[in-house]
Amino acid sequence: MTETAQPLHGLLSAESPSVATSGVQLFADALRGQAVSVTESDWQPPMEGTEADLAKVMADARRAEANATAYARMTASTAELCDVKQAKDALGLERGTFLHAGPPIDWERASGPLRGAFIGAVLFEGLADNAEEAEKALAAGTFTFEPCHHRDAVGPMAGVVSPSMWMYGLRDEVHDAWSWCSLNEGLGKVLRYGAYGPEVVDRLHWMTDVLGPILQQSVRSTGPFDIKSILAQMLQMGDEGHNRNRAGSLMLLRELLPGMITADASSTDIAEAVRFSGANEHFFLNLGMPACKLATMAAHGIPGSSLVTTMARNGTDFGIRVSGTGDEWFTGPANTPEGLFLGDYGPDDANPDIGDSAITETGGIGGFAMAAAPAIVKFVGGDVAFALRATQTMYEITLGEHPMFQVPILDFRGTPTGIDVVSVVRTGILPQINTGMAGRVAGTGQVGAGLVTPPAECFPAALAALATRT
Amino acid sequence: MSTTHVDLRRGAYHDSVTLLQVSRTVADVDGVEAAQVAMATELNVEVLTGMGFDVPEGAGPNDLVVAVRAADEDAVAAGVAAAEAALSAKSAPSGGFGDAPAPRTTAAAIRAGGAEIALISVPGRYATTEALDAIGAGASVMLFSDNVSVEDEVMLKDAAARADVLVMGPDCGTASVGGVALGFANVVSSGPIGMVAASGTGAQQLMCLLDAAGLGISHCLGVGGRDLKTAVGGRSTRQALAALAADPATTSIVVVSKPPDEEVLADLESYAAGLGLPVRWATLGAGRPDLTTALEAVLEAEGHDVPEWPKWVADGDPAPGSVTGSLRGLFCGGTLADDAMLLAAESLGDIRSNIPLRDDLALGSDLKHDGHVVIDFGDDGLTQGRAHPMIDPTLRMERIAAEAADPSCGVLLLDLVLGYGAHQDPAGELAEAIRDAKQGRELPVVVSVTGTEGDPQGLTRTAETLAAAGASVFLSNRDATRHALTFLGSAS
Amino acid sequence: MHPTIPAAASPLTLDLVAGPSQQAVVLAAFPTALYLGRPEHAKVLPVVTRDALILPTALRLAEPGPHDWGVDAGDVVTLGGGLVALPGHGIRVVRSWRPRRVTIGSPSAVTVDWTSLLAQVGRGEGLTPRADDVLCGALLAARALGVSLPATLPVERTTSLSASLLEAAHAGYAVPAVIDHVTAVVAGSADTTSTREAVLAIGHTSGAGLLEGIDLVRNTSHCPLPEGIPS
Repeated sequence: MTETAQPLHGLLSAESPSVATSGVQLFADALRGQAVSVTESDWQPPMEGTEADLAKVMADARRAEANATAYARMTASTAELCDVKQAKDALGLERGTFLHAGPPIDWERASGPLRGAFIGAVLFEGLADNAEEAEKALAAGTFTFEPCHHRDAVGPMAGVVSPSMWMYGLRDEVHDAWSWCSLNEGLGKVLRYGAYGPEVVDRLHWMTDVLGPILQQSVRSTGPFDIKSILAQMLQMGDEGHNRNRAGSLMLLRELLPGMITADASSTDIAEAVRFSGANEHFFLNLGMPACKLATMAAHGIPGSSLVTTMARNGTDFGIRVSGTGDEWFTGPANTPEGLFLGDYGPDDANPDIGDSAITETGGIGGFAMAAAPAIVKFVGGDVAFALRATQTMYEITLGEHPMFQVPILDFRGTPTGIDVVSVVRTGILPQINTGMAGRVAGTGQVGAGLVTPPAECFPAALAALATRT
Repeated sequence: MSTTHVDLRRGAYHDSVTLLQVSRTVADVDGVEAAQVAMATELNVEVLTGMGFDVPEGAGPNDLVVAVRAADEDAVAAGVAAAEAALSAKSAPSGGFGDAPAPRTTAAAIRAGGAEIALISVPGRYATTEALDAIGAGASVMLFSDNVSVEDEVMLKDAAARADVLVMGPDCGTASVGGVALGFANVVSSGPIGMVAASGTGAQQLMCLLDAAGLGISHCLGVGGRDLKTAVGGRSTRQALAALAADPATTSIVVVSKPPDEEVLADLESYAAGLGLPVRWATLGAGRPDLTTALEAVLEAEGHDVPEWPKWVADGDPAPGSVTGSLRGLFCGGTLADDAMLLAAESLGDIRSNIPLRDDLALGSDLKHDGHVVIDFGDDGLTQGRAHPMIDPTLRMERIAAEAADPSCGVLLLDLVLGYGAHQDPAGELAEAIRDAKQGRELPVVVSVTGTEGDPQGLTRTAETLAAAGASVFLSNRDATRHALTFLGSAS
Repeated sequence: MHPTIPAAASPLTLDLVAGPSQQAVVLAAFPTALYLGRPEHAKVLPVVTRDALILPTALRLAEPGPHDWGVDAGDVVTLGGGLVALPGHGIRVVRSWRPRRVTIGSPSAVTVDWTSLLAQVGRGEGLTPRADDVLCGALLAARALGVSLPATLPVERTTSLSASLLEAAHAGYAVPAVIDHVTAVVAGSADTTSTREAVLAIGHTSGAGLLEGIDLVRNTSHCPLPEGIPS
């Protein structure tokens, strides 16, 4: 249709107007009886008590453009792996300060796996001789805790980062920004799941002494590597970038290997570094996450925008941040994921939702791209039809379809990208997050994987804050 | 001893009209004595309690209550099963393997269907959000929902003007765009008359009279009952006039409205004068012509004969002027009520109403008075938490029975609106109520039927059903009102 | 009793379906369109689903295809009384839709020699031969530019469907994409790329034919001197 000078976009010269309806079904039926094309919305009341805030925010004349800008910046951001550095150099992280996943929290309210990870990190940094001592010091408030997100970083599960740990550095060339994420330790008993036994701490030392320097040499000598392009490719190879990273990990390894093999290190160390990296099918997660972090950072801070730029959990609270409300967190108690358990573990062993990895869903992949990864249902429960439905349902709460991240089975439709607080509140549809499950007792490690949603109350709270800013 | 079942389903929303139909289905099950399937709004909880059901604590407006009382356990189970079946039949189809779920918001539905128009009929407190959503998606809006604040109305209309779309409403009952009837609408032929309507039933009455006169309409654009009030300032009317003036299918325009504010009318008249085609006014008010008379003037100006309007006059009614007692007008259409009241007041003087001509004539909350009374059952105040009386006539039916038992009631004046959206067989129920009302007393009943032969219910068929019950039936609301007045001996 | 599906009729073919009961032959049955022909030439009723190419003469269904018509080319069906009676179901007219029409331009002094165009009618392959598409485009553009049209068209030389579309175009009716393009061309729009592309997408070759006809008339009537300058 061309733009004509007719008023009301040519409404009165429409050959046979078609109609969308919300509300009384009778009217849709009456239209069908007239051979009119009708699309009925399956309208439901919004989350309780939000009518006034919704009207206010939706009437905000800035919103449409602010969201368009935020969305455009989000999808335009690039993500290249440009460096690998220790946290003290990358983030200026001071000795005695520990980063963690999710919104801010203190020791008192920290859950088992987060406490376990703090203990492990204190031991790793040599700030205590044993776990009891570490726990005592932590409880006494000797150390400083800070969310990864406050330093443009992200950490999976407990997300604990200490100054000596190595971090991948990703750069967004378009918006001139950096984002950081720790190296993946593999599966099983690992720090990010709250384990802190000797094998965990020993592995962290090996990663610091051997793996980090080799990766740094590789990236510096043969990088940078385009992570966003790997994300786009892996979605077409059965990964969703959160709970399934197999193809992505192999593609990343393909990029890193030449530089690793020629690194200045002993052949034994190189062999072990390559074996370690190749054996870990979540190796790529720690690159996908900061890539998504760069995208959401680019969209952040636009007045009037209702786009969600952070979803993160610390094992106790689930927090979101929104482009138009700056650095304020809107939190609620984290839900416990539902899914499949390893070995003898069961629902009672699972800790509430934890980790910054929901940044993948915030960026339009992970649970939002589940249709691209039907195999995922074997790890998180559900069936293939569910996977297809999950992705398609997310279009109801997102601002657009990602131009690069595409889902072959949906005819290469872009993934649902850019969660809109307004749409979540209106539809009551909560973002679908795929996640790993940590044991609730400190030191346990991973107990399973599954699906989870944010607590609903984050969204009306964010909406109310947007309403006060109109 | 009967058995009762009440269960609460959280977050299972269905619209009130659908639930009304489901409740009726359940009530029809053998052995079921009482049934109500409703959202747990304050009003519905009251109704349920009144019916003797205990509503669980903490039930809110987003929760569904299924309440059934029946002779025994089996009948209760059958009732609940009928409710389940009716509810699932009403739910949106879930689609096949891997199909996209149904759109959940108005804008999503607009995008999915490439719609030019959004018809929004969600409860009033959610309507602003949906309308803004539709405007943002570039569609014009027919906002059927009522109980929208005037501030929100102005905000919506300004947003619509910026987006070059039209907001028809709030509380817009009827519209017709390019031959597509929206909301409550009659099946009328197409023709050169464009209509702008700040009144739903007023527009329906005019369209039906036009149709009976053999003239058709190009479009009927609703603007909402308050558009010609100072607070709204004719915002949608202006847009609608401009659009119709630019439409090649429209050669003249009629504006129909409940009593407008004078300065808004004056502004619009001078705006309309520059549009290059005749714009005529059927705007109610003291000293201004009634709907039928205004329409007759339009016909004459178009060079069209004024026909004799269809009527079915009952025999056996009392002689003119012989009835003592007062006029009782029970209307579903607000503008029809206004039209009748303005006309009747000329001879009867003061008429009490819930939509009074003067503030001091307002009825109390019990809606009772010994003198002349006209009630609009479609008014916002009587539709909160329930469907419009054109869909759910319960309240008016109860009142008809009450009037029949009230010796101060001298003549009953009723309206009945046919067409899409209205009750599928309104005449049958109403005829029964009229028969009951006339039982054992002399009570003339006059019905103003707004409808066409093309309507699903059929004008003649409907009129004959009512006439058989002893009512006099008129297509013209004016003629119906005048006929009712003759009994009171004051029409001369 | 068979179920009936509501449909919207075009005023151009309302008489075919609303009139007295009569038989019609299935000319073609596609998943989104059914073409019914009366023995009289140029009397064709297309019945189309929402997602089909909506010809100005079509009887429209509200739902998208594919639709199982239950008939094949050559079958005979009954039209009349507002109903298309198919073996398994009926299609009932419940309202009229309003096909768009090219607005007549103010009368122009320019003339087009229609002789050769009319001589070509019926030449080409398919349900709508290419020469007919060209003529349709030319007729629509001529109407919009105020150029006088031929009084009659030799429609008996072409297929029944094409003949019905030629008659519609003669009266200014066409599918919306063509109306939009003709309107844009006549209004002198600087960029008509998008409307051209929309026309090109019609049928296999119909779009190209229509464009050829539109361009032909536009170039003929193109006035090298702006209005008001004496030549």
